[in-house]
Amino acid sequence: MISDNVFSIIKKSIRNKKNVLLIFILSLLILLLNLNITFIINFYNFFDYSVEQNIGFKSISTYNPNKNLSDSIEEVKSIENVLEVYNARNHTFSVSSDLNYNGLNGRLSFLYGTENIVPKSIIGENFENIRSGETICPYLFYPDSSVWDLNIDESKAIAAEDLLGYEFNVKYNSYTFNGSNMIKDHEITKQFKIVGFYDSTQVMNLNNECYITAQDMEELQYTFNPYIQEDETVIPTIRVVVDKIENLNNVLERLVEMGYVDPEITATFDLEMVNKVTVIAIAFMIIIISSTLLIFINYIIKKIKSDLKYIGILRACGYTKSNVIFNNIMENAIIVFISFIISMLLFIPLFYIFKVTLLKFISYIGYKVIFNLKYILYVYLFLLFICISINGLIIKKYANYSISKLIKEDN
Amino acid sequence: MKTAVIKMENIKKDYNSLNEKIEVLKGINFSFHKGTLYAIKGHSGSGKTTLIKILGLMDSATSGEYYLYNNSITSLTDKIASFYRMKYLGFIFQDYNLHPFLNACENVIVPMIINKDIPKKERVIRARNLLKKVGIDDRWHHFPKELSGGEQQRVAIARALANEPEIIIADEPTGNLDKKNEKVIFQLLRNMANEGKCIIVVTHSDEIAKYADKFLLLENGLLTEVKNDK
Repeated sequence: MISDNVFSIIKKSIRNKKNVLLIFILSLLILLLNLNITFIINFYNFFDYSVEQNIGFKSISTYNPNKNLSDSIEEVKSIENVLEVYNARNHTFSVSSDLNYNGLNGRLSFLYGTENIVPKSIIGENFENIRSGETICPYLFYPDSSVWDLNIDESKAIAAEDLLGYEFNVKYNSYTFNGSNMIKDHEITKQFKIVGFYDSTQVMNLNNECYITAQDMEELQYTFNPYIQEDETVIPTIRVVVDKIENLNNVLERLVEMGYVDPEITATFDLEMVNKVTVIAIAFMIIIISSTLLIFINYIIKKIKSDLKYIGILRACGYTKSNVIFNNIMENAIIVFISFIISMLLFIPLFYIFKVTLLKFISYIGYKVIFNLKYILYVYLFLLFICISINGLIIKKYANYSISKLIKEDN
Repeated sequence: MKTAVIKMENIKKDYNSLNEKIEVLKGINFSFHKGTLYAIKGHSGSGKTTLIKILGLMDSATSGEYYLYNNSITSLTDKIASFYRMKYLGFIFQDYNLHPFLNACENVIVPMIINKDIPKKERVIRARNLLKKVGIDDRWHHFPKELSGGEQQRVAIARALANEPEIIIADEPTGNLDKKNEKVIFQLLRNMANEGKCIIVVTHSDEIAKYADKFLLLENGLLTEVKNDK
């Protein structure tokens, strides 16, 4: 139950138009702070979490003109920190499937899988237990070609629980090579069974990318493109997956030493840009916090000075110095609290817009925008603590004035 | 025989100004009784404010004895002085100093908030009764800016009475008011004295002569009773 004192403080706070203005300004500043914190959290999460997990950022493609494919794979596997080596051609294979319900067109991609590079399943079998004809798909399975350029409509995604053990057919064309041209032979249908689901957001995969065994991938690739397989003049490129991003350069150097040509990291991010954005975001946060504190301190000093006579009356009525200090701090804490609540109410729709806008750019890598209330609360509580501490120091000075000085104070 | 609520024995107050000791009060000996309206007069700089501060426990004397209800009051802590002010003393000032964002009734409730003897549910009733007593109950929901000077001072009087103190100290309570309102305020103070309260008024107004029981003149640091020529 709210005491008369707190109730009186709340009434005084909300009836004062200057307080309302301060609440408005603080709400906007805290809102900006919330957006800034959310951006920083997501930005860091994006790089520190997802990029670390996605093998594209830890893979090198290269070839050795003096070695055949199997020798290259065996040789490179022996390099320290190398997790997996395989024919780069086998990395992915796009097919049509009969998973075309919920209005989806059934397009999906198979990825080359080994137990070293496929993440642990969250439902069903892990990759080490799967056999030919089996596959592990994303938890939010979205077999549609639009997965690249649209926000994933989670309501359309096929629920993993319904699909575990489900068998579906994929279709692709078989080609033959007549020595000079590729000739379309016939359409092949192959059946796959979904035996497990992984979290695509953890590895920044598309939500229509399923892992299959190396054997199945080889079969698909061969029937689809026998030309490359049969032409001995084609030097196969290998894909080298390294265990950690920080070991990439060491492996890269070793590959060059071993005679591998044009080694390239398959996906990179601009570290300089990342650092710049981080510095700007943190600077922005410092500016917002500093502005909030400056506005708040300036306001409470002016307000206390204009309230000195009333403080004198309170003291004359029997309020102790502690009562006066408590009341003043409570009044300002209420202002900061109301500002926080308003900022959160404004933040929720803005966060949704922010999420949708951001997803337009990054949905193809299956990243989920995170709203982390915990960090927002930490920063808010820090702000509240600073505000209350400074408020306490200021009001303490004036509360120590004698009553007659307070009452006679000419402001 | 009326009960003495405040007794001052040889109260002295010195100030140091530019290494010079100034004796403002040079030995006040006086007792204030219940049911009496005292009017204190004196020219500017005579020490009226200093005397009020000591009477109202806002300042302590340099030497002498001050008794409040026969309790010797010397070197009080802030907490105890605040308690005595809350329990026994009510103040009325020249500036009404009502909180601008509280209505008349809420302003009267302010002193009651720290008084644990007044139950929460009784506060509004009591505040309304006090406003009725000072004649502005119909304006209980009005904010200070919506009230005239006289009305604001009446709210301030109701506020001073909130915790039912037996001693009311009024420092120039009609200083900002016109003659008509001055009479209203003095009559209210007179009524309070008739109800048994000890009213101490510092004023320059001659109108007080019609209402006061005793006239006190503060001159040369000494307080003397003078004849009241009503």
